[in-house]
Order: sequence, then structure tokens, then C-alpha cells
Amino acid sequence: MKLVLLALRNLQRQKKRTIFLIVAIAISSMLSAIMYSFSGGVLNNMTENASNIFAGHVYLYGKERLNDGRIIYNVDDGQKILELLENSGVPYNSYSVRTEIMQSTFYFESNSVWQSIIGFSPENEKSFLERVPFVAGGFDGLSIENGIIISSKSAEKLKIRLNDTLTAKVKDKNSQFSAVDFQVVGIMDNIDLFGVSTSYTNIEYLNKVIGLEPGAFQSLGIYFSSIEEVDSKADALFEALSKDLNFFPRPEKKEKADSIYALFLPRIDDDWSGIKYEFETINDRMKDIREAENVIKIVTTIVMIFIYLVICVGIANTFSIVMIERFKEIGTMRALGMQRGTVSMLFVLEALFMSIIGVVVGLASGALLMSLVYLIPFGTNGPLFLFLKNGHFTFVPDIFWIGLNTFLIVFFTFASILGTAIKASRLSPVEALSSVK
Amino acid sequence: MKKQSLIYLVILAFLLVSASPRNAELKKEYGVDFDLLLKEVDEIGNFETTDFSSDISIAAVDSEGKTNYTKARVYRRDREGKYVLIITEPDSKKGKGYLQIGDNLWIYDPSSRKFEHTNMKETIEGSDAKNSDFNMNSLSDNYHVEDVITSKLGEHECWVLELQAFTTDVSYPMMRIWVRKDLPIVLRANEYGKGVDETTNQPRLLRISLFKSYMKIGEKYMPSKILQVDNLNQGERTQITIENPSTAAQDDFIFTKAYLERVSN
Repeated sequence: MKLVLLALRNLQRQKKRTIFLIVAIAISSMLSAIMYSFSGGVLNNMTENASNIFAGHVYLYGKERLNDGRIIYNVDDGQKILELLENSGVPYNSYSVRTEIMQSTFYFESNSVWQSIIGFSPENEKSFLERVPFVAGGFDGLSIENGIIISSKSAEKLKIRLNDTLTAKVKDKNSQFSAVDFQVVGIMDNIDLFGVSTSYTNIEYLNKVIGLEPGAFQSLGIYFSSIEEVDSKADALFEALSKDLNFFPRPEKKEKADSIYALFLPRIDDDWSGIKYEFETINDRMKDIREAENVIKIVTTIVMIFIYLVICVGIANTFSIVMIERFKEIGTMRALGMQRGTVSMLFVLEALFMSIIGVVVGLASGALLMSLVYLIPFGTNGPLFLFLKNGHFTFVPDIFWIGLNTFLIVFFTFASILGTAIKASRLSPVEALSSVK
Repeated sequence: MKKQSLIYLVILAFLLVSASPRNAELKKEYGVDFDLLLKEVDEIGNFETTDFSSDISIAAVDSEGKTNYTKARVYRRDREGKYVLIITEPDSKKGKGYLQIGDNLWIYDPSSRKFEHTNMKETIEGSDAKNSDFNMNSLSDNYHVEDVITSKLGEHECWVLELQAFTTDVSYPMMRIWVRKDLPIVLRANEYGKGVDETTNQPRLLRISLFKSYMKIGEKYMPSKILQVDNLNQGERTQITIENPSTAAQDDFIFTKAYLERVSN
């Protein structure tokens, strides 16, 4: 206990120097905490926002292999699928149904742009509607049968304004061309994911364009209460639906990890006929981004290690000076019977306290800074909306990575003074007391 | 037999039966069997007894005036319903290919080394050109003549045939083609989309193909220059040139997936 008090007292002897080192440790600790928490928060928000754009946490869509080998999207009997969902025994919050034309060209005057068109039911996708940032117009315009919401990027390329009518060249379910008119009722900020530019219209109108029956749909999205329960509930739902539906293997069970784009492509040369169903979760679709987050964390750690090394050089130099300053003091303590190990321990404790205080101050400052940033409203309509939760940046502390960095800070501090501590312990009392330094 | 196929057969039979009286009416009016004329249009461009190969160049001009060039080699064995198209330029697309055997058409992507089913209606490399533009003619298998007028196109007297599709195997459910009266070749084709324009109540013209010149290969005629204009955006057009035609016999190996894989390496 005396040694602990002595170490704490020694830290106070050169207050400026101690504070300087604690601040250096605190800043590095704060930076690491913010960076890890920020990437976690951004990923969670992206996942949640993407689930609204994709309309669900879990997606089910049917693929039908035609006689000529082509594959088209078709869930066959939509009502049957909805009944199976209802009777699956897996609780869910809501569901949404969609129809999509993946390739179409929009024309307005002499301009054209490539688009995919999603048909959806606004009444089923309230959380999606709440999150889409508009530049002009809004979803209310979809009360017009052929109303369409396009991105500001597409509007700019087409040089089209609200209430103008564009012509779209689309293919129906038999890949036959038709040209249909859409009235622009909304222009939204770009929410394109993975470079796919998407427009939104009424599902019933799009069904008519594609040649599907009224009430039909091509994909079903299911919302659960939160992202956290997606994987467990998806497993249960998949098991329940597998009794009645013929499914492709789920993405994570595929032998080869496909890219996010490959998830949307039909499988090639699989031996199947008729209709087979794909079952994916938002986590499957965000897999690449999650992997990117891990890479970011690894890179952050490497950068932090370099910062720690710089700080360590400072700490090592400071403790070398400290040792020189305390030559006579060490000699006196050794002459009075202090053991070599105790002298080393004194230095180790000083460094340990300094690093712990630095880490605590750093984490507390980080928490404070993150809270302040959280309070800043960035708006729900801006280009950053995909990374925000209700217009705010959120931070999700990653205990593993923050813990690892805390360990690294303490370890590097310990390592930086180890040489000095050993050297101090090896000083002979006579030599130290006779020193003129 | 699948229920869907049965329905198609019934519809097909119905359309064929219902088409005949119309053809009879037109025959009575003009003294020409237009269903037979359509068959002749197909036959004059098809190679039932030999193979066929050629080089094609596609120059696609987008609405901003930017031109994309694509070159390809085409092989056909019409008697077996086989077709191969391999892109030779630009380098970024080199080796990409299409293979048709019967009803199946695959696209081969050399970067992923995968085959994927596709159809004749897919456009080639962002142009207005489709595989169906280079494959054997099959108008009489998919369309019947709904109406006829006479017209002059350039120096040629033409029949203008209004065609309605009775299958879903074609890109355009309705066409108007200008067929020379003295030779059953098409000089112009107006291709219309499904449905009608709500304001004019008329079918919507999507693409205009102008067959600017033909080359004679034995008894057959093959277009050598085609201009395709996107009617929805007339700034977009595609110029197709067909060169180096040959009716020499081709190796069986060409019409295989293995060939596409080998040629792309």
C-alpha cells in the first residue's frame, strides 16, 4: 500500500510532465473509442436504413425457370405465401410486398437514364416512407395511379421537374417491350445502394405494366422488432416455411461467398425446375459492409499502435529523465533496504497509474464528445441520411475493440518504462549516492 | 404437358385459326398470300442447307452523341437452330459470347467464367441491337399479317405489312415491315411496344430499323447495313455493319459451351 501511495505521490511531483503524458494517453484512448463506436453506429444505422429501403429484415422471392431455361421472378401464389407466413408461428412486426422491373430506360425530351422501378404499397411501408428524404413532392403523389418517385440524380440527368411526365421503356414478364408514361410526383435525395438507381411507383400500376394479376407480387419483405433478433427469427422462419416451399440454400450456407451483387443474380446451371425460393436476411445483404467494418477496425488498430509507439517514446524518455533525477533518492532507498524488485515495481506502478488515469479520462472524454455529437441534428433529408438514425449520428461502443486498445495502451506504457525500471533496480546504492547528477 | 404450355398451344391454335380468315380477306383484296410472303421473307435470309458466318460491327450512339463500338463474330447453323456470337472488340468485352442451341440461349461472361440463360430479346452491349437481329429469320413463326397497305420506299414499291405477334417469343408485339414487291426482303421495320399510348390510343413506336443495303450470298440475301433508331429518344441510334459473310461449313465444336470458354482465354 505504501508503494502505491509512493507511486501516486511521485506522479504529483512533476505535475506538468505527468499531465502532459496523461493527456497524450487520454487523447489516443478517446480517439480509439470514438472511431470504434462510430463505425459500429454507422453500420447499425446503415443496416436499419437499408432494411427500410429493401423493405424488410428478411426477404423471400421466387424464381421460376421457364422452358427455355430463363429465370424470371415469380412467387406463384402470393396469398399462399402470406398464409404460410401467418401460420409459421414466428412473430413478426409487419410485412411488405413489392414488384420490380430491374432494367428500364426513362426518357424525357432528349435525355435518358437507366433505372430500376420498384412497385410497392405505401400503406405497408410506413417506416420506409418516413426515412426517404425528399427534394420535391412526396409519397402523397402516389395517389395518382402512374405517379412515380425518382432520385434527384435521375431528375437532374433527365432535366425533369415535378409533375412532368416521363416515358419509360420497360419489359413485361415475357421480356416484351412496352413504353409507359409516369408522372413525376416526387424527387428524393439519392438513396441508391450499391450503385443501383431506383424509382418507386404504385405496385398495382407496375403489375399492370409487367402483366401481373392485381394483388400479385414478386417479393415479400418481413420486418421484426429489431435488427438484433433478425438472425434467430430468420432461422426459425426459414425452418417453418421450408416444410411447404422449395428453397435455395441460404446465402451463408453457400460454399463460395458471393458478392452483394451476386445475391441478386440467378444461380447458373443449378438442377431445378419450376419455382424455387430465395430466402435472405438484411445481414446477408450487408455482409460485405460488415466485413468492411472489420477491416476499418483492424486498420484503426494498426494506426493506433503507431500512435501508441510515438507516445511510448515520449514516456520512455520521460522516465529515463525521472530515473536520472531520482538517482540519489533511489540510492537512499536502496541503502535503507529497499529491494531491487520494489524499485522496479515503483516505476511500473507509476506508469500503470498514469496509463489507467489516461484511459479513464480518454474514455470519459470520448463518451462526452460522442454524446455531444449525438445531440447535433444533421437532418433527415440530407445526403448523410443513410448513416444517421433519425437525423443523428449514433455510437455503438464495441467492448472487444475498445478493451483491446485499452490493453494495448497499458501494455505499451508498461513496455516503454520496463527498461528504465530494470535499470533503476540495478543501481548500486553506493554508486547512486555518490552520483553528482 | 405443363398447364402453361397447354394454354399457349390453345391460344396459338386460336390465333392461327383466327388469322387465316384475315389472310384470306387480304389475299382476296390484293391477290397475294401474305402469310406465304412472310415465309418467303424468312427463307430468303435463312441458310437451311449451309452454315453461315460473318463479322458484325455495332456503333451505338447515345443521346449525348457518344459512340460505343462493338465488333463481333457470328456463326449460324440454322438447320439445327444453333447460333454463336462472340465479341471481339472492345478489349474490355472481348470473349463475351452468346450460344443458342434450340430454345436455350446462354450468355458467357469471361470475367466470371459463368454461363447464364438469357433470351434473344436482350440488347447487345448497350446498343439497340439484339441477338435476334443476327440470328435466323422467324417472322412467320411469331407473327401473322393483320393488315396491308402499299407504299413506295425510295425507288422500291413495297408492301407494308402490319404484323401482330401470336407468341411471346419476340421483343415487339407489333411491327410494320416494308417488304419489296419484287423481292421478299425487308427495307424498313417499325417496331411497336405492348399497349397503346393513352393520349393517342395508338400503338407506341419504339424502334425503327432501316435496312440500308443487302448483300447477295448465293440465292440468299443478307442485310449488310442496318440503322436502328430509338424512337423514344431519336438521338440514340445504332449502326450495324455485316461483313465477310461465308457459307463455309463450320466445325461442330464452335456451337458448344466449351468453344466459348476456350475462345475467351
